[in-house]
Amino acid sequence: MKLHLLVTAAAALSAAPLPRGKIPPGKVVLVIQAHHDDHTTDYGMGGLIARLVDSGFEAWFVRASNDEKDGSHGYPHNDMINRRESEEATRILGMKGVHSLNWRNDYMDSIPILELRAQLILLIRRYRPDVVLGHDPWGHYDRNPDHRKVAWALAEASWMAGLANVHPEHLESGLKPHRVPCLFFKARVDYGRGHEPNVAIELNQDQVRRKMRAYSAHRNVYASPAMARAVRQQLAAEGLRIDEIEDMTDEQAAVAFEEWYMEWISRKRGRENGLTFAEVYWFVDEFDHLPGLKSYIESAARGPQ
Amino acid sequence: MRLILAVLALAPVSGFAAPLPLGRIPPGKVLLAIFAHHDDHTWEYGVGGAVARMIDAGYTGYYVRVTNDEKDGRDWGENDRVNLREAVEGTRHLGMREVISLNWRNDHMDSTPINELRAQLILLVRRYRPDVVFSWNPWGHYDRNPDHRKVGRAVGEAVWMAGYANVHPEHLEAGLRPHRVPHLYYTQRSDYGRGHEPNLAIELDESHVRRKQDAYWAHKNVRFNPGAARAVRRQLEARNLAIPELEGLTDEQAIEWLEKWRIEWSSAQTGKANGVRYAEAFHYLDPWSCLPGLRAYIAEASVPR
Repeated sequence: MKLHLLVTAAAALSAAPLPRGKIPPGKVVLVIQAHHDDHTTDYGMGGLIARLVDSGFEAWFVRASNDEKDGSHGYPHNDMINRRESEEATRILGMKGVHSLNWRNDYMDSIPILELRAQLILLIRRYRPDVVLGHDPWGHYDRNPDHRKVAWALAEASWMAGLANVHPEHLESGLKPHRVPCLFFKARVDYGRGHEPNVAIELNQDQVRRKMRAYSAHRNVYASPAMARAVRQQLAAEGLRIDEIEDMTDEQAAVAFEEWYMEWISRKRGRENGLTFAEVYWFVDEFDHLPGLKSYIESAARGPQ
Repeated sequence: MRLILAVLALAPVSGFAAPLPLGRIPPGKVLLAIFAHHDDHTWEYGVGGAVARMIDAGYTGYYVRVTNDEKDGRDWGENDRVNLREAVEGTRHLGMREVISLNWRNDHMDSTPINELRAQLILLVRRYRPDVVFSWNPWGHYDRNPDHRKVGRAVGEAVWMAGYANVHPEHLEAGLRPHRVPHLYYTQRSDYGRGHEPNLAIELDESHVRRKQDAYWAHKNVRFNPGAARAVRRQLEARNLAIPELEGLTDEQAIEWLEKWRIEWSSAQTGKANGVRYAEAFHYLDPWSCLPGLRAYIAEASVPR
């Protein structure tokens, strides 16, 4: 246990607080992720989604895989149950709906990226989002292959959707090019390197509460008694005990862990950035693809005379 | 100018990083070392010393060679056979029980389907149920050996996916059970590659280092090169220098001395950097690494039994 604590302490060497991010102006946010529950796992974006919705955004969730591996009801049932729970969870966050692309779960490494990209370009042109949320394409080696693939396709689609020469057949069918101006990227906290957050988004208590509820809506995969049993076993092996879970059933203990966890990560990100609750992102704004332009505007632009 | 001096002053700091925490040997019975090539277990960046120490602590060790090593030596078909035989001998010096060869084509692993390699590794993880896996760091990207990169990534995925009953259920039909690997020790070449951040040093004693030298030297098909000893002597002569230990040795004896010296030297270097005589350094992931919040929860909420 002492070793574990040491390793944790070394990893937690505190960095300087991040600048506080503002909610960009706009009306529509698309959340593009691999799995039913990626909107709100530890690395998730549930708080920011709730805050965007609170500021008037209309929000849509894109699930790229079919989630057949999450759950114990067989592949087709897992697909259906996870999708239903995804609809329930995103509703808790105030989102409008879920689009499922249903690529095979865990096998996205082998799907053609151009096809996935074309799908995302179409969705971007259809919904014309002002803000897109996804996994950080530069947060390399997330060991979940689906996360990597979707992030890469998203990084390409978000700017290519703005070029009329890309998939002109979309234009023939009445869609217009649309470049996504603002992107919020996220990476898992447990593994993956290369993710460098540059903003902290402040959350209020209600947003954190909705995030927790959205998370626990995924009952098919969370609150698993097996996880609680594994924790009890490991605690015993390390000669430790946690009083509050002693008298709980495995299922109750699992729920207690999960709830504590959601609150913990939001509070931790808050503490690191001088806030009560927060989420951190790598934020790319509308001028970031033209870095010189931003400083030119800052130095040369004047308000109305 | 002052800025340049400040930058120069900062640059060497990385060479004198704080010592890493010294790792304990986790309780367990089985270790798998999964590498691309016959000799990856024991280089200057190898894992031979930690393997020997775990075997001393009661572990049974298995070595997985992913390629056919046809490029190491003079003749492709011959190389495969000889290098495999020497891998058996080398790992036996470390106390390992068996070598499993997957025989993918050496240097061509970039074009092998990752899903197929991953499926093979998931099967082996379920078959051997290791408590410990050694491999390349999946985050140590841009190792310029393509086989190392591919194996690192497939291992990064296989070690957690093997724990899911929904992943390759045909294995379960054949009588295997899911198994998640609790302890991961990742290494990386010391000569190139980025992204590898060791967080743990494993102390070695003289016997571990001696066995590591023997394991390294067992790979005579690639190591036994008296021409290299002659080249060293020529360099020494050109600089008017001598290494007393090399005097009176034949070129055949000299190359053995030089190669074994290298293994001792690298173990001592890592030892010195971490306050012990000999060591190897790893990026270590413990059973809680996949649930970082849970570890913090346990640290906060648990008490000794």
